[in-house]
Amino acid sequence: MADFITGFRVSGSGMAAQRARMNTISSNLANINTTRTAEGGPYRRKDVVFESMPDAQSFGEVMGATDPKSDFQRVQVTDVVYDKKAPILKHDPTHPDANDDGYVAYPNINLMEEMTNMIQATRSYEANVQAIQATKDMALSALEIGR
Amino acid sequence: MSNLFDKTSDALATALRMRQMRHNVTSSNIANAETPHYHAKKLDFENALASALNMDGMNSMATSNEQHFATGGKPVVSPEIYENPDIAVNNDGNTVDLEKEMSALAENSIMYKTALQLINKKMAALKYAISESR
Amino acid sequence: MDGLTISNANRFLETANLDNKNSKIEMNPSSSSQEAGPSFAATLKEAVNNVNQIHLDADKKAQELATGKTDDIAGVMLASEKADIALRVMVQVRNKIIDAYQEIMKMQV
Repeated sequence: MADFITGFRVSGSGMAAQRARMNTISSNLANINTTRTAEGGPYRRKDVVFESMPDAQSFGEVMGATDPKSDFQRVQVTDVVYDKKAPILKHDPTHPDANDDGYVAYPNINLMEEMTNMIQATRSYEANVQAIQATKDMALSALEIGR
Repeated sequence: MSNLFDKTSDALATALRMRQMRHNVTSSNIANAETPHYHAKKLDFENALASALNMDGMNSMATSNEQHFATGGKPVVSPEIYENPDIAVNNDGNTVDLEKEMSALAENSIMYKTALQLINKKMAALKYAISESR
Repeated sequence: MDGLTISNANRFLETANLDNKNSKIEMNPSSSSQEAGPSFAATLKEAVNNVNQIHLDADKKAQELATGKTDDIAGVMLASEKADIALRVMVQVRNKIIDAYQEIMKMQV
């Protein structure tokens, strides 16, 4: 549909997705040295999975939206996955969480990687904010026809 | 009376609609700039609009069927939405180039406002000619 | 006159003062060494044609902008503004002509 509501919804979904990503990044950064969690073992790095889906509101729209002209894609966070990498083992027998061999398991979180992801998420978020402002701008100026 | 709103007004109105759709496509690309395996899309309408206007002769409208009357009805322009062939592939299969999309957004916005102002001017001129009477 | 509109004014011009032969107001070209200028109607027609040409030019530029063949926004806006001003001038000239006509018609013979 060629209307501005679609633009708001799509860009809004982008902002929400980036915000969710920021939440996981903050969680990762805060727990970068957490050796003990409720499930046992060190903190495991979390990550979000983005997926694009057609922006359709009603059942009729979903069924009828085979028209490529109206196929504007929202983005959605479909999953929060745990990192599959093994935790880092450090030898420290005096640590209260050391295992039998004297190794402590730390989360395998790379600070630089998380900071880079944070910058990337911020950049994407700002891009979506600009898109929303442009949409709002265009919609408001269309109201001025004939004034 | 049929020539009160001429071909140019129709062309500008169609351009406005098309640019709005292009804005939605670009917003879609920006929102999905980090989605894996998402391919950036592009919308083209300029050629379709130009041929509907039949730019060589400003007098008549192009018709798709011999039996249609070229009465100056609105051009029915269908935009083309396709995947952008200029690929900047990232390592997760995403082909969105964020800088390009942002600059496309800005350019589209400006052209939209220009077309809007031109339509405004035409309508204002018509209103002026109507209202100034002796 | 059942209403002072553009079409009525045009009709007045065409029936009243079409060419030099029927004019009693202008100087007879053969009786003086000076050349008579173009008739009032011809000047007016040329002015209207000029305004029309300005409008056609603005329209063409607007179409080029709509189809993306040009991105000369300043040129398009200038042409559109010129057309607007030309139209307003023409409307005012028409008003003055009609005022002059009314003035003349008020004269008692």
